[in-house]
Amino acid sequence: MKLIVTVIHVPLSGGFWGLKDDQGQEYLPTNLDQKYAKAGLRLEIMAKEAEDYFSVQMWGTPVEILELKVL
Amino acid sequence: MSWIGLIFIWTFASLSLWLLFKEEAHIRKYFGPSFIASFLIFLAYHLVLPSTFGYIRLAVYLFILFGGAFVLNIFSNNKIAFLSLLGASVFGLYQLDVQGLNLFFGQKATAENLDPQSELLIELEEGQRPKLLDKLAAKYGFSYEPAFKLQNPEQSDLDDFYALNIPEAALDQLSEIEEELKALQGVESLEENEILQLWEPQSAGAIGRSPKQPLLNDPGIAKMWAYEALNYNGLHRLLQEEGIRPKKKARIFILDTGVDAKHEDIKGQYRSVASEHDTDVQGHGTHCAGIAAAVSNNGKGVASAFPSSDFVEVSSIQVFPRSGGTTQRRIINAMLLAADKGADVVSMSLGGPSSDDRQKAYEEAVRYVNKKGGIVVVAAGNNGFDARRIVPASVNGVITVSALDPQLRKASFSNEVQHLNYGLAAPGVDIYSTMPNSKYDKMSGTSMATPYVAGTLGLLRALHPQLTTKEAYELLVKTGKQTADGQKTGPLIQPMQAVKALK
Repeated sequence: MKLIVTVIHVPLSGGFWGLKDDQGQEYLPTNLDQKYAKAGLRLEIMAKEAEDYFSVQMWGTPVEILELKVL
Repeated sequence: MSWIGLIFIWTFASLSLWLLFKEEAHIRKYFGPSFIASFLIFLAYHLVLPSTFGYIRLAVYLFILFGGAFVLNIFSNNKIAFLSLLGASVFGLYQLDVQGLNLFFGQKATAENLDPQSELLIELEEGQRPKLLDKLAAKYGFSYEPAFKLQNPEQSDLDDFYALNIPEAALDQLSEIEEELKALQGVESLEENEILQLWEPQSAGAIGRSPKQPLLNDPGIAKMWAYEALNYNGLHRLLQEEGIRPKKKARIFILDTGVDAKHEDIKGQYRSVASEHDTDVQGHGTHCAGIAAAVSNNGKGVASAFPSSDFVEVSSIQVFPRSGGTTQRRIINAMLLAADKGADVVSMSLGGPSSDDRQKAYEEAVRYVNKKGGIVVVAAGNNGFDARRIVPASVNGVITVSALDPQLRKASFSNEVQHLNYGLAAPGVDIYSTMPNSKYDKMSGTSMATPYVAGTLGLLRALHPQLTTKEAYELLVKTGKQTADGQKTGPLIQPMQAVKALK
């Protein structure tokens, strides 16, 4: 799936980086490179849902980023 | 100024002036009926209307009323002196009332005099449900619970009484809250729940009942709002004063990012499964372990539910790599390992999206843990939606924990557990606990609420080793506190009450 998202910092479970689209849908990236971990950064990504992914974050839909473009 | 206080002053002034002008019939005729009218109202208030005053207090009133009036009458020959003394007496009585000194009128208790856990007691009309309080509970953030635990509620009206816990921030609105409650249709009566205490000096080392003066010496308690919300002071006092001893050392397993086994506030209660699980780079697992079972009263860090290290031991199974997520297979293997190692409680502050297959696999694992004697407790998740959408939160047989904030409202991020079989609530915002390398910090999440329940379950299992998941859940619901969002979160666990009910 293709998504336009904003990078956000979520202050739960010790804090982590999440993605939020313009409709408010939340995504937990399983492989976001540290260089994109900046609050407010707009990204266009191609991603697929991470099927077997469990986390301490328990937040958003886990997604694996396949392609990424900074907007 | 209370209205009955005004009546008393009116009565006092009328009687005094009637005595002053007893020789002047044209003036006296006004004060006689005035005194009789006010005196009858005053008596009716104490003898006929529902009142918390006792007869001794009424006798004191009458003594002040007649004694004071007759003393004033000694000066009746000097009207200026008489009226000055009367004015001073009225002013003094008024001040005693408005200052809330409770000496004479005593209706208005200050918040300091009230039970911090249940400032108000209300009685609902027969057949009314406490749900009618929800709107006001939401407005002021108070919580409520049945005031009395009854084995046979059908034999008593006491089941209509509810205790209201007003948050500290709303205490300055206590009068408004009382007024609104009184005006609420379905509320029969309302009382301030004063702490009655004997007048006796306390020794320098005496322990106050305020959570701000904790029973334990762990310095981090000052940053633990959960210490008060869960009434750990009361719990520790109960365990200490009644000499309650464990029947076994219960074992709590933390399935997480690992646990720093050398942490100064954990090592005294830690038991290793294998060294690979005894380190924690991320910190999440160490934080959870401290919440569940930090060593209490050691002068270091934080406190947990246990007064000594012979109640529980905490163990770790690391299911997450250094960073990132993990797989269902790894989690289930960890659950099976914990069960085989004799877990009494398996605490899992983790989760992922639900599916039928995942449900089935987790259900089997939970069944295995249960058969081996373990109770599984898991986090509800942080999506802010129905916890049925994630696993293992929604798996049959687990106790699922939602998070509350310091106002005892549902944390905005917390998933809701009302559609699950075993949903409970615990503190989960700004939770102060252990971090790797003997450090401490705050974290938020249903991850943090879960080990509070795990710790309580560990305590219950230590006292009652055969307790099943269902029994433990029912006990914690029965003794739990209903909060403003309790419909969505389940009741807030109250460990002390649970231990009392277990006895």
